[in-house]
Amino acid sequence: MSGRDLVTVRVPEPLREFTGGRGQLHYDASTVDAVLEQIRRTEPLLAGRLFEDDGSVRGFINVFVDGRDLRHLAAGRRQVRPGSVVAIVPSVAGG
Amino acid sequence: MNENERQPVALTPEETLRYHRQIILPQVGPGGQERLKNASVLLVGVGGLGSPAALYLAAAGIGRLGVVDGDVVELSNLQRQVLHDTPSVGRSKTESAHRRIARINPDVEVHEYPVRLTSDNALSTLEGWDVVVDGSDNFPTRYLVNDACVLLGIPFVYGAIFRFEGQASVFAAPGGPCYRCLFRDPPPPDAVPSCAEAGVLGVLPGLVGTIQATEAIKLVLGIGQPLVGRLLLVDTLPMEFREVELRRDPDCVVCGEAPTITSLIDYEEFCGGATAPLAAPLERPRVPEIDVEELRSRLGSGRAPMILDVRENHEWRISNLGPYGARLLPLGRLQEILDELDPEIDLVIYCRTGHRSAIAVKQLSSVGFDRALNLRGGINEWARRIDPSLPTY
Ligand SMILES: [Zn+2]
Repeated sequence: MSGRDLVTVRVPEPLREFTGGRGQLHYDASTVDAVLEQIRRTEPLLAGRLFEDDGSVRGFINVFVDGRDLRHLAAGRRQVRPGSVVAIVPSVAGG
Repeated sequence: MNENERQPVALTPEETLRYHRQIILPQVGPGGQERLKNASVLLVGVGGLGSPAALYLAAAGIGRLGVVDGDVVELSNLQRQVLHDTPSVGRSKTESAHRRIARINPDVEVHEYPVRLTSDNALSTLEGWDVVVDGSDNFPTRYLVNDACVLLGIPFVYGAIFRFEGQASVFAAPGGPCYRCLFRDPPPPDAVPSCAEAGVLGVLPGLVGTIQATEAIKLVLGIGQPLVGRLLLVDTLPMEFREVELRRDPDCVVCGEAPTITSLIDYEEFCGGATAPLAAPLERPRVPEIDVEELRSRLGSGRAPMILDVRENHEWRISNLGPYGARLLPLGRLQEILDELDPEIDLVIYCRTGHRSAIAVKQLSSVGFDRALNLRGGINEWARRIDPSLPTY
């Protein structure tokens, strides 16, 4: 299966030290919740940065699913398709 | 600044000539150019982002520019802070900015604030400006700028950079989200790699700061679609510009329906001491340590520990403890060895200065490695005190 058939997770620079330098992860999933679950399973270091103990995304990180904020996606709108992009956007302060 | 009673000033014939290429744009015209001349923009920070923003705002004919910065120009700034030049090293950044702006466009009125923005001076400094450009380099100032702008009702153009990637948006515009709607909490001090260790591509703030200047000009002119409710993500290595949708959070503590922040707070405390500017390392996790002398004596004894280097490949090529059996395993790949290592083993972990290795020790101790030690001062300290034949970097 190529990246095009999968969901792409974009890992930004500040978090790449937790993915061994990889900027993209690819998963076979049909909902964003399944993507996040696979991140927990396959990338424990990254997951440790992304999630609170209760499983929610930490307050200085945002997850956007095809450009939409995960926090604003209602239960019925959490599907992803092959080619979907899940972007992780952390706060950075450099100026 | 209290400029509310200023009367609009018309363009002089010389100004009509200077701004001709802009005035002939139908979206600007002489009326728009007069708006720019009568507008005021405050730059918080004239470093990497504020430099290109100041240059273009001055050249475009913004009538009044304020520059807030408590730093002096350093040689290591010049790789990206193009407002300043070599003869300005050692001068205050606001003075350097003032001189450069005056040379580009003597018609611009420059207000210098050679101080760090604080809760005590922020409201009086920001009040009265039409637009604020946030080019600060630390989290407390970013939250302070946001809250002050929300409280004063001033839109601000946000920009932030890290290594090869940048972000830009317009916050606190009428009806739009604020910085806290996006980033509810600041990161804990150890959650973001130190920029001094991470570095930044010099041209990146040039890109993002120029986008900020563009947005400030659009806000003043009231043209186009400003980045309100959108976050622009710039990634220079693949050269991609993407955007994501932002919404105002009705529960936002400062701009929401029942705000709990109605005056400025202590932002250093709010950010947990994450005050480090671009040039200084962030606080590292407190973990068990070993110093370089003790490591040397243990290496010569029968109790030599296993040594792990958690830097990157290119750093290993600069210097390493390979002759003592050190193994390179970049921090991000630490999980790969968890299964093959005995948690009871004596481990010493190092990086360049001890920050990343402290994170590694903390991660290892959380999964049962109780005998992992951080090499205090990293390989640079080893080079200084034990083996001067190794370069420091
Ligand atoms: Zn808000």
